[in-house]
Amino acid sequence: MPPPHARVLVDTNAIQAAHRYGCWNALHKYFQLETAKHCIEEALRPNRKGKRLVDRNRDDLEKEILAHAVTDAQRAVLLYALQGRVDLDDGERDLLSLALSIKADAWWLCGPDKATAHAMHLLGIIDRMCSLQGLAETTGLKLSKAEEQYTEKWLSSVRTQLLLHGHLI
Amino acid sequence: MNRFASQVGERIRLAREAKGVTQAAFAKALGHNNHQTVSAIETGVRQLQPEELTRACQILAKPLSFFTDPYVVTETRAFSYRAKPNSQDIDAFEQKAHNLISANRRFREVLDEPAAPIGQQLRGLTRQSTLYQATLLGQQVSKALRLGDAPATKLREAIENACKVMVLFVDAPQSISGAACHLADGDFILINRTEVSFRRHFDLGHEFFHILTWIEMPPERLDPELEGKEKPKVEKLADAFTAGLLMPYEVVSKRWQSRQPNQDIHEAILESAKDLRVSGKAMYWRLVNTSLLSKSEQESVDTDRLSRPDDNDPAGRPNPFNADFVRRLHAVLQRGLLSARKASELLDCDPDDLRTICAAYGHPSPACAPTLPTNAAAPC
Repeated sequence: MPPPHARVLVDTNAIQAAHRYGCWNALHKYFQLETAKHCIEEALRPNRKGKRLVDRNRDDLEKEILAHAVTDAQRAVLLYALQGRVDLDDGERDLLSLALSIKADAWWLCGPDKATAHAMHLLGIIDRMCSLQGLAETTGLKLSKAEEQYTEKWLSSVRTQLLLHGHLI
Repeated sequence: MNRFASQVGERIRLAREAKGVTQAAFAKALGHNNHQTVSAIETGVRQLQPEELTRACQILAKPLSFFTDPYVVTETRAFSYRAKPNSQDIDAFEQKAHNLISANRRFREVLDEPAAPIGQQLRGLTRQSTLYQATLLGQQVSKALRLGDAPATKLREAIENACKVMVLFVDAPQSISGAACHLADGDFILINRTEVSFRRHFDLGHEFFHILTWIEMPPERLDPELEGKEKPKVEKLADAFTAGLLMPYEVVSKRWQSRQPNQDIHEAILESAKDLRVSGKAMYWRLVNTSLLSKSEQESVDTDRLSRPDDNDPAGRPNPFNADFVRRLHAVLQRGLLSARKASELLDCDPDDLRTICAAYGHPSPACAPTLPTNAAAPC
């Protein structure tokens, strides 16, 4: 698990779930959270039923997480590397584009979706993936009611399948 | 040659030709000496490097997604929509239709399921044909597809299984009834599932006609439902065909002869309409056009009394999309080939709706975004 102040990239699902589960404050104080601008937009956008899943002011939220603008050049590197083998939404695509452009060694990514895990496996960076539950527990919070895809168990199972078979069953 | 390189190459060609740029000029702008490099790129033999792809976006003034997003539909003239005149919703519905068709195409591709490029066309009907001929052909198709005594109830299954046309039920604004889509790799019909059942049946028959006559009589992009005004001939033929398809003479005649003696004429028409799952007015006009309703009976009918409630269909409103589409959706989500957020964007729903959609067809919940109570976090 990432140590205190580690760079942790989080996608829209993770941002929304962390707010919903009530562990956002702990996470942003404990880690250096980063994301793509697109993920912030998605997280703050009301859903199709008109409900705002993260009812926050954008400026306030961006004080707690560093939001990067991603360029077409960065996206092209990712899309070329993936060769159309995984279809991601704009936020997920930008977050992985950002991840590929990081030169430092120490960073992690929380993107609770099988497609993100699959893409990270294809990119050779699956070992950088962490679960929301794992992150929360590092800060001293227990996510006992977390849905499957946010748990350490789910991530472990997905990672094992990818490493053993090269794909998800 | 890989699929991604072919897709990017084909779209480079489309964008270059649309902009009127020659292969030689494009090659020079990319920093290459001869046009053969571009030819190799466009046929997918040579793959564009990331920096070349970014440069191509600038040269051809297209977003990166135009080249890289497999869900972009490039055949814009292959759709025909049925909507009320001046519908403000048509552009949004067009995007929805594009997304669904491209999603199905993409799911088939990544799951290695062959497409159905074999399409059937209706023989012996042209723009010069009479409405009577169209109705007769509708009856013959009904018989050939063995639709039985209540054709509307078996029509969808027959269209999908015998004619290999994919029928997708979608949530659409009231102003839109449906759409027919004729593509190189298969035909599709989209039906607004929020409409009453007899309306859906009629829309399905109408769009089926367009698919069956697409080559001989390609429909307009927008098929306006002009109420009380002159319709284009093709649309009149489609309505006449649908009348024969859903209400074959033999079936209607048998049903009409078996009505109760001295039964109120309105009740008799409505009961027949209910049996055949069509509207009261559609049944009335079918009876008039087949002369099963005498002049004096016609004069005694008040058409305002022929409206009827929706059928109390045990199956209720059809599930969204269709079984094959959702099976493929579930498979690509489970295999990590498509993210839940991208899927929800394509299906125009929220990520948590994917659970309901999959469950409607008996598939276990895919891992997707969620609906849990807040404050699940507690100190360890």
